[in-house]
This record gives sequence, C-alpha cells and structure tokens, in this order.
Amino acid sequence: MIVEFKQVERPLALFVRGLLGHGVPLHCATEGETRAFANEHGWFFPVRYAMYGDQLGRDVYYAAAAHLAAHHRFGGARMKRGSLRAIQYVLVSLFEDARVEHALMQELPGLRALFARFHVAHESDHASFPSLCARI
Amino acid sequence: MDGPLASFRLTREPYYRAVRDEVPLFAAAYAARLPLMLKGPTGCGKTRFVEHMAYKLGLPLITIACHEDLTAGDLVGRYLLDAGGTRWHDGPLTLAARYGAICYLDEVVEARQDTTVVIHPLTDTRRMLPLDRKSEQLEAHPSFLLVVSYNPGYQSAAKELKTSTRQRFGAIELSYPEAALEVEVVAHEGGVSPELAQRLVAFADRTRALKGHGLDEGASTRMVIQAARLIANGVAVRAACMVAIVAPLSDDRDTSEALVALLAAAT
Repeated sequence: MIVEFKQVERPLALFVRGLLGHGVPLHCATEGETRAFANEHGWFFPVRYAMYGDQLGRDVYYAAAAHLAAHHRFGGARMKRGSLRAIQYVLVSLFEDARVEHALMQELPGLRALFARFHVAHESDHASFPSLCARI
Repeated sequence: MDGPLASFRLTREPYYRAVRDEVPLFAAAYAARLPLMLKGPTGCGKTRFVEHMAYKLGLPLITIACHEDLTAGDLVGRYLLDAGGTRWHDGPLTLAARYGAICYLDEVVEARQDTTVVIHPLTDTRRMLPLDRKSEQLEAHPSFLLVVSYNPGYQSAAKELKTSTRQRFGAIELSYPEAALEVEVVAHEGGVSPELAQRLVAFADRTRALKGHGLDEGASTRMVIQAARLIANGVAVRAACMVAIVAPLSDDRDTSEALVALLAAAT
C-alpha cells in the first residue's frame, strides 16, 4: 500500500524535533515532486514515494527527514554551481550528501541501516553515471 | 535511643550527585528548621536527594507516598482495637514529630487539600501538632523537619497546593542533571559503561525535546537507569530502551512511532 505524506506527517515532525532538538515546519510538496528538499519555508516532502509501499513507504520519509537533518546540522550554506559543469556539480553534491550523512551517523549509528535501505546499487547495473553515483 | 524510629534510619549512604547547590541549601534549611518543598520533574532524584540528606544529617526518614485517598487520620494516627483494647497509634507524621525525624510527603499534591492542611501547625513558629482525638498538643521534637515534593510540570487545577500551604515552605528546584553528570549517575546506578550510559542519556535527551509536543515529560533519569539495569542483565540495548523508556512514555500512536524511530536511529 502506497503511503502518503499526510499519513506520516505528525510522527515525522516529532522525529525531526527529536533529531534536532527543535521543530521544523514540514510541508507536502506539489504533486510530481519526487525528492524531499528544504528552503526558507521549511522542509518539503513528496506527496508519496510511488516506488515504496507499506513499511518501506513510511521508512523512506524518515530517511529523507534524517538526510535533511544531516544537512541542517552539518551542511553549510547552499553551494552555488558557479563555473562547475553539471557533472561536477552532481558529484560534489553527492560527496556532500555522503559527508553530512556520515557525520550524523557518528551520533546516530542506527541511521546507517535506515539509509542503507534506500542507497541501493547492484553489480548488474549497466555502467552509467547514475549507477556510478549509486555505487558511490 | 531511636526506639520507634530505628527501622527508619538509613544504614548506608544513598548515592547522590549534586546538580547544583541543593546540598548546602538543604543543610542550611535544616539548621533553621525551615520546612522544604522539592520541585522537579518525575524521576529527577527528589526522593534520592532526601534520602541522601537524611543520611548526611544523621536523621531517620519517614516517607509517605501521598494519594487522593490519604486522610488526616492516616497522617496523624488513630485509635485501633487490638487484643489489649482500644489504643492510640501514632501515624507517620506524628511519629516523626514526636521522636525527631524527617517526614517526607512525596508527591504532596496528590493528597486532598483538606488532608494536607493538617501539617500547617508544624510548619510555622508553633511547630505543634494538635492530636484532637487524643486531647494532646504535641510539640515537635527539635530534630523534626517536614519535607514535601511534587512535580510542577503537569498538575491539574484540582491538584495544586493551597497558597496558605505553599507559603510555609522554602523551595528547592531540582532538574535532570546536565549530560556529563547524568552519564555518571546512569553508569553508576545502572551498572553499565560510561560509553553506553552516554548513548542512553543522549537518547533520553532527544525524548525531552518532545516535551509539550506529544509528551508531558521526556524520559526521566530514573527511566534511563532502568534501561541500563536491563542492559546490565543481558537485555539488548534496543529492547531495554523499548521496555524502560519508549513504551511507558506514551500511548499515542504517532508519538510512539516517532520515539521508536528515534530509538532505531540512536541504537
């Protein structure tokens, strides 16, 4: 069964408060948005993660919230692309994602198992930039 | 010398680590025989503090767990029928006042206000306890001290101390220890390593961020110690925290889900 944001919104908000020690406004993003993101108005989550259902469909929201919390705690100001080529920007963002998640996992080691459920790469994946990123 | 108070004397020093200056404050209040009110969240060490001070001051300690069915007769005493006939039996408050002990009314707001007013004559310059049914005006022993405690965090309007009661006491506010000290306490009382105690305290701290948001109170130091004891007895960390902390904290489904997720993240 597909899980929608409104079904997890309240426990998710409490989870974020427990992670950070304070609350953050959580919002449902517009239909079609597939990734969680943060801006000056708070954190936005997809209406649903269509590829996950049942418990995984709830857990993905927690993983997304933990990822945003990692950036909130350990990330700096939003990086400008500047003169970076697109592929460079993607890779730098990837490394930053990994860095902040690693930092948060030092405090909350159980997040490793949560993140691992959604950082999936297979040996059989075709050699491509997306599969390289997944393996990284 | 103790007579009836022999069984109320603590034989070993209760472990207690001071949070701030509550130890010298209590000692000074005792020197002045100022009745004391201890205020603080549940499980922060109020009772342990009183036990510690009773031992330090060399006094017997009589503890009364207050509840709404507690009557003045329960505190003061009553005539009972036994094999020898009808005889007066001192209640715990009278025992403490007569022979010189600390009388500790734990969670005093749980008792009805018409019960707690019986302590008034003991808490002002009179230091007297009228035993009307016995036609006795008991003058309190010079060593007697009255101490009460309660958690100001989640009282209902029906469970408040009357102003006339409250203003007879000095008050010391206690709280959960700051993290480094709480780790020491949990390691000592729970029988676990400081590293594990630190993880448990960090998790408890996250639950305290939910105070007023799904929880009346976060995990108390007492709960953390209970989790540690389970772990010391071989229970897995996550299971111990579920039993001792997460499950008792809330029955609300969303709050419980958030706590379970925080526990999974922390362990």
